[in-house]
Amino acid sequence: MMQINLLTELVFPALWILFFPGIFFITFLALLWEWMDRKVYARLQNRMGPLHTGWRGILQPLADFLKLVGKEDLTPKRADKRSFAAVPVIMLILSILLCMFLPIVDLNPAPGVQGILSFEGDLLIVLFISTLMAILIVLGGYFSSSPYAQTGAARTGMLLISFEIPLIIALITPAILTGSLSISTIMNTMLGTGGGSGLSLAYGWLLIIPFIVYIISLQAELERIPFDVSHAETEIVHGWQVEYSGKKLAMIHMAEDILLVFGAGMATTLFLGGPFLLELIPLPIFQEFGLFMASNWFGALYYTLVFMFKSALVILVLANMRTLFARWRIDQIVRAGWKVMVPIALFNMLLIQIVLNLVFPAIGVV
Amino acid sequence: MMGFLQRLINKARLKSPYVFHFNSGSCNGCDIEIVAALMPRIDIERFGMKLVGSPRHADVMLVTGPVTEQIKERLQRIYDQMAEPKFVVAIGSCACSGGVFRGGYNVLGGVDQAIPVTAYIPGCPPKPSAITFGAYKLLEVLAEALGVAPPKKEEVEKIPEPVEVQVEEVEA
Repeated sequence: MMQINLLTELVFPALWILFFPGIFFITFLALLWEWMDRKVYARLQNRMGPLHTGWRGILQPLADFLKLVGKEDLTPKRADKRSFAAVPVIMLILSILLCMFLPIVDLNPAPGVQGILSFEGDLLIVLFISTLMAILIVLGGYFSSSPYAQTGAARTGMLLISFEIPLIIALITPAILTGSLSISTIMNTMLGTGGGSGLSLAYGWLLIIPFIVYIISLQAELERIPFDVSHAETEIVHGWQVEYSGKKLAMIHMAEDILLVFGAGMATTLFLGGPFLLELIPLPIFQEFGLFMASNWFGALYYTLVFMFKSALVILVLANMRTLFARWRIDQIVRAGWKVMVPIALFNMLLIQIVLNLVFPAIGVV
Repeated sequence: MMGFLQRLINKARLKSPYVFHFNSGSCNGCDIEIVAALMPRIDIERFGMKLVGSPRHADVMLVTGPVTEQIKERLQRIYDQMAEPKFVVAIGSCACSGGVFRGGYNVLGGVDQAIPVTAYIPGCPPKPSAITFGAYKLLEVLAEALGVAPPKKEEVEKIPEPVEVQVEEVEA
């Protein structure tokens, strides 16, 4: 009896956090998405991309990571040594923590799929941590005491101040529609997967503008190409990362990849319907399929695959953006942030209030 | 266990050399050819090579141009800033020997007068295909230095002796 308790209460949750939807799986996704991003980027530029490391270079991000782990670790003489070393570690930990809130699979999916960590109000924690990442980046630049790193850090601060607000407003919109601040509950209430009937399809139209705002702000938050002033190779050597090498750089790259997983996962969860696909079709056979998947362990496989498929679509969009645009100047970015993105996000907020309070009652949408 | 990890890391080193470009007084001919080697026709990202901006991130420094007395100090400082294990590739006739500038009052000669060089790629400028071939040869040299050797720490961290790479003109 004692042993059964040990197994179900200690070993299984530990494996849950460490391996399958937890740290190991998230790291695997991070490496996979980076490979996909690089490959799509290269193919859109008519190049081949990584080719000789594993099948079509699929092990390339892993090789990069291992190589950086094995390299010499340098700390500049003038840097604040302890804080300089702490920044990559905290960044990696926080990014993994962010991914813990994503509902991917669940041991008992019948009352709706929950994340590993899930409680009322975790959306606020997620937004708080994603702002904290911005502060960490700025600190990482300042602790390394290099003029290039400090310039990069200042630019990152400017960039993230501009795009944090539209990002937050875009992520709050689904919360307004469902009246909950828990990521898993928002998803399950919208889809009606945890009991209940779900929101009507008319609500989907309200999510289109926030989704676009979110994708653009995500690109800025991850400092990818149209918004990569903070590590512009041609101007400031590599921005705030310039002094990092060896293990610290490996950790920073891994944290960036995990943030990519988180960003794509958040878009999947809040805007694209999470790990559900076929259940959402209102036909009896698909409803039965959904019940079957929710009742046994096939569900774990199915939910994971659907989650990966939807995240991969988001990654494709992000890689396309990276290819299509050239780097914007810092003044263009700040102007775009404050004069376009923030007004659109606020206007959408207003629109949603009007529609929820006046239009939907008038046309009879429940 | 540690031996296995060390072998894995050695393999990873061969698969993902990050390159960093330093111009020690070149006429920009070789620099353009390096950029051409990154372009769609001969894409050296196939071998996992990535152009990075910072010497701290790089494994391989690509040096173009003759080393002048003035640039020598900077070249050595940049070389010191790179993290071990690090390798230098001299690209172009000037970087290999000083080229037409050899014997000038302010010209030191090839890159090997200032820092240890692992591979030489002659040509004025070398074709992008020749640069790729040279890079591939460098990887072969590294494989001999890293992969075949037993995974001992001092052997892994040893910089291989400078090797002259005979580069033939390879048609793209």
